[in-house]
Amino acid sequence: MTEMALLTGRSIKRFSRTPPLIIISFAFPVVLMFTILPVYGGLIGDDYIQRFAPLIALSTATFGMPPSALGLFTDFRSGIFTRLRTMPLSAGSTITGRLAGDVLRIVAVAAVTILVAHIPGFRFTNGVLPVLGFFAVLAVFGAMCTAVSLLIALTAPDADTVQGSLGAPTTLAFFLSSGFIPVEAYPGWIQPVVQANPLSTASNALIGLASGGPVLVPVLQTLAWAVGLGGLCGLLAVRAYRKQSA
Amino acid sequence: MIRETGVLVGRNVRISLSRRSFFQLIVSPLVFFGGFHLVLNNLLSTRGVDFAQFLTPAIVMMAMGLAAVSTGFFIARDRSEGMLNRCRTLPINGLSILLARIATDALRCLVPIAAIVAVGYAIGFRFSGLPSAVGFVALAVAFALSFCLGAAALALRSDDPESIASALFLPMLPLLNLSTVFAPLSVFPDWLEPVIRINPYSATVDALRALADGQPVSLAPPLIWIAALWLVFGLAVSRAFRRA
Repeated sequence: MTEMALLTGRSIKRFSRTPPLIIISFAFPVVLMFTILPVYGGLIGDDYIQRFAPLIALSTATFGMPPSALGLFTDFRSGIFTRLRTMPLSAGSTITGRLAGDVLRIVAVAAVTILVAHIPGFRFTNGVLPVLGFFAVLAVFGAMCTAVSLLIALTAPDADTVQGSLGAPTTLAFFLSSGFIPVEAYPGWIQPVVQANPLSTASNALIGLASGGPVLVPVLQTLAWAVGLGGLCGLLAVRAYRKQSA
Repeated sequence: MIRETGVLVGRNVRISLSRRSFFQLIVSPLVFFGGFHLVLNNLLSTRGVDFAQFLTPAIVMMAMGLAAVSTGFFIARDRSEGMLNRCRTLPINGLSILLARIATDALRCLVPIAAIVAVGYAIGFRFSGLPSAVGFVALAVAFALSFCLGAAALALRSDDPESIASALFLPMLPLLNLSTVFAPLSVFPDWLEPVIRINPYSATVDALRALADGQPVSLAPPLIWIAALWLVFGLAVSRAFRRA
């Protein structure tokens, strides 16, 4: 437990001591939100911010995947993990520590983004408990993204592969999300993909929690993604890490 | 100097034949093409927009910005790895190094333009004729180079290739979205209209669309913007280069 907390602390300190990284991770979602809002607000309708703010909060996790995986990749190469391996730490706690640090960062950036989203009119209209649920879903989603980043950082042969294998899928997932435009606005053949997209299920869950609407089904769908994809990647990451230390 | 530039262009082209470039120049513009096509097709077609003619120039504009990002990356890397300093110890003109970079970028821009136009043709985009195609490509490259110069000026002051790329991406978001690149003027709220109109991306993409359609083009606004950006960023680059 202490091991984990220490490693979480390290991962957060590393982030907070890289000023350009902080500025970019906080500025990017905010700039993205304010520049997309007039375009799609005009195309879709007045209440667009209630739909879009949750997606922006989630995208802090997905768009953070390439840089976060790249950071991990450099970390693995730089020898800090080799050093950690010489210590009596379990592989699980090294990995979990890293995971927890990234999830905290994601939730912090998302919280700031949601706060800023109140300027163009985003509101929680559902009471206090759903707000907690809102951030819990964000954290679960963030953990899933981090587990995928971890696995890619541990198994990619070089930095370009890290970037290349994450860039396109995360961008497409953003485009094909019902948090961006309503499912019915997509061409019919792609609608099943849009509905299955974890960014859609998580967006729907957050929209339901923030402004009312179905909650249970999208939350369960998001949990299924997190347990399935996140759990699988997490297990494989721990295995890959152990293998490298053997 | 022409020979020096030629040699350096050759070197720049060779080092950019990497997987990274493949992703940046071909894969990522086409991913955005696919994404925007799925998202905007119904929304804009129902407003009476000729979608293939509308979207193809938009994606070209977006790719031109991404080209500037990779210019910044390569320059910052040349600087941090000592290539710039090494060139300076050689009896070659400093200007050749810059000219070579710009010429390489002009060549690199042609790759995404070709890929995007090819996909555009598949969904129904058409040039009205050869002169329209030539004008389209020339304007797109001239526009891209103005941003490449800006990226170069920034990159000459930095030696972290990764952070320069993300720093360049951020200012591109408002330029791209708050313009007529992805939506017609009528979509925006009235109070934003002056911003949309003055944005160089709007002027350039409108001219690109008119060129492709073979309609009368008002080339003055984009050309004034491009000339001004070339001048400002060109001066910034030559200053930064002497200090770098």
